[in-house]
Amino acid sequence: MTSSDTVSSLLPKTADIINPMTWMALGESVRGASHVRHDLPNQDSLDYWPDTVAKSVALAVSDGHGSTKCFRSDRGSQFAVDAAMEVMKELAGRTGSTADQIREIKLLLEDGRVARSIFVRWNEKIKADLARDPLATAKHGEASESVTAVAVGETAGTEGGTGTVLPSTPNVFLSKEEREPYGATLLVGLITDKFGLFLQLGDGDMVALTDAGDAELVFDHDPEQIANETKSLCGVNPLPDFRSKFQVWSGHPPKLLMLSTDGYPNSFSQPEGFLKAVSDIHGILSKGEDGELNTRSRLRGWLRSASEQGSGDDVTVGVLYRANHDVSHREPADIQSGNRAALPCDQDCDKDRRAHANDEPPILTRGGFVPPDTPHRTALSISWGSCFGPFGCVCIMVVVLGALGAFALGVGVGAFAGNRNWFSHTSQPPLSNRDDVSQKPEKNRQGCCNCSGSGLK
Amino acid sequence: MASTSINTPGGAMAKRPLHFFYLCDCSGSMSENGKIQALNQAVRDSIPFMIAEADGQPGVDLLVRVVKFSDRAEWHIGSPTSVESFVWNDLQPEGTTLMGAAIRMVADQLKMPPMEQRALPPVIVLITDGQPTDDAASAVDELLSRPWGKKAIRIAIAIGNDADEDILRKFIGNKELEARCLLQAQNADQLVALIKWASTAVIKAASAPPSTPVGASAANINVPTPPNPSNGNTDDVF
Repeated sequence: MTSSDTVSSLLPKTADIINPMTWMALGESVRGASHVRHDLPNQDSLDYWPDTVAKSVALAVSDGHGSTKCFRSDRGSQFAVDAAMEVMKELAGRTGSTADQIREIKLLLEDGRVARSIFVRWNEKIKADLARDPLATAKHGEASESVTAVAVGETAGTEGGTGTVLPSTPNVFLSKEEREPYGATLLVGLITDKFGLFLQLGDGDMVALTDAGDAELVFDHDPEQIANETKSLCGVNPLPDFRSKFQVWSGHPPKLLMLSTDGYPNSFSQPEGFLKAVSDIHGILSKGEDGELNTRSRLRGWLRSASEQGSGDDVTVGVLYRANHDVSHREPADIQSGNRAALPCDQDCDKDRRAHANDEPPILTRGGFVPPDTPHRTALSISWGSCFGPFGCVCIMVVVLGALGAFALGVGVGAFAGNRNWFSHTSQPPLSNRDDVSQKPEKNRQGCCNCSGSGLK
Repeated sequence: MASTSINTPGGAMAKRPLHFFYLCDCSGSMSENGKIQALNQAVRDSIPFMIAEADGQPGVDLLVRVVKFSDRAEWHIGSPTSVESFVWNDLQPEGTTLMGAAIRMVADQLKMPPMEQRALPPVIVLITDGQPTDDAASAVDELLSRPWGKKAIRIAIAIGNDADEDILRKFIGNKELEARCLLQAQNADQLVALIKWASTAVIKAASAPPSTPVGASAANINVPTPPNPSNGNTDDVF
């Protein structure tokens, strides 16, 4: 376990902690162009919590290896994010306002108990999966000597009430042979109004956008991890390979944290291009609620484009960002449904699904992201997207005046009712935010408009 | 090739580079029994298959370079050349076999930089018919000391029976892989088949490598099975 040199060694006193701030999370995962070509599933996984503005938010992404030996790595990546999110929620639940409570969580991270707890739970989930769906050659109960050596001798729980963060199952680790089919990486972030906690095992990138606007890698690239070789949860002894950082917000916290599987950074011709993407996405997000809605409706298309023009790999991106606009006038449920109902579902989601099926390029309608080869879509997108764009005022006036006129004439009621769908919750069945929905029915679910990456607006 | 699209956040996107190196022996002995003619023809004939293979791999930019070695080692194609632009100019045999110098030239190119973090595992195909006349062993050590050299798919094709198998084994660097990566061509047909295999099946394997745990195996790529060496005209031997 390595720990950041930049981690604050002197925690601030309670009185020094800056005013509470709120965060939000979003993310998407798309099946890689190469995986489509070779009829492979999306082996990445993503989860975040909660869906609403909150003082504490958590995010995890994982990349299943997909090799012949890791033939259940799509499940392995899902188990990894599930395990991580369980632990992050528990940590967030014990987050208090005192320096002692923060110090306790910092200690849990830095002495390896957070990583170990995630690893234990990942093993438990594999064990349950093996019970449901045994491997032909699995040797259940044959523990890995090297990993067991880490586990045995440690006691359950921690003095001071760490509770379930450290399960009382010291010998739960499966053998490497049992874990190998599920091999995956893991990146985890937990951000509260007081601190940030970061954990990474294997490839992929974690980038923080500082308050000054600089996009910086949280963990430097590991020179061992090239040519598709990566540290892994299925390694012989993966616990020491976890890298961690803990940062108390004694000054300004980052504006944004992005976690991505390697399919995204590998899609950029230069590393700087990837860092610029972090800044660009924040630039759109920071345009208030409209920017957030725009990002959520565009992200899937951006990622699909990255895979098609770049790496060909599965691409997964999750973002935690400071919710820096005033949301007090909207209830969390409204925000949630608003995000997911950015498109009128009964119309445009069908178009989006067709666009996905035809592998059309993403249609990006705002912030200058309009593909030059789709003028007809541009016209359409201005029509739908004008509520946010620079032409918004003019279009809103036209629409409002038209609607009022129609209403006055008694013929516009239906159209008016239809437009209310903009910020109403959809009744469409939820879709996973991973492309191969059938692979992962329990995935972090989002509403109908989660399929709106191609953004037919 | 980088895309200049401005429709997505961030900088230009590009497929991942797959660097492919031919190291070709042009020593005087290659002039015997039509070896150099067979080599020239085999590489030239393999190009359309190479292009087709690269076409079928999303996310891959196949870039070819060639080193020739005899009395000296030099780039026959020095710039990473997109396979669509790859043109083969015939090699001419003369002189000795400075294989070590050629391997060092490739090793230099596998430093980081110029290699990119995002690159796919390189493929190095060494084709020779004889004994190196320089210190090839230390050159192989240098190659394998580079992270990208170690992770490269290394294929050795011995033409005839006089190649130095010890140095070729050292170049492969993995006993488990010798059966698939240390190959012998006894005639022109076999050489054509092996070069075609190296420039298609091996590229396919390198183009979509699954992620594997660090240190899980000496070779992170499943090198495909080479063609049957018994194929070809057995009367027309090198």
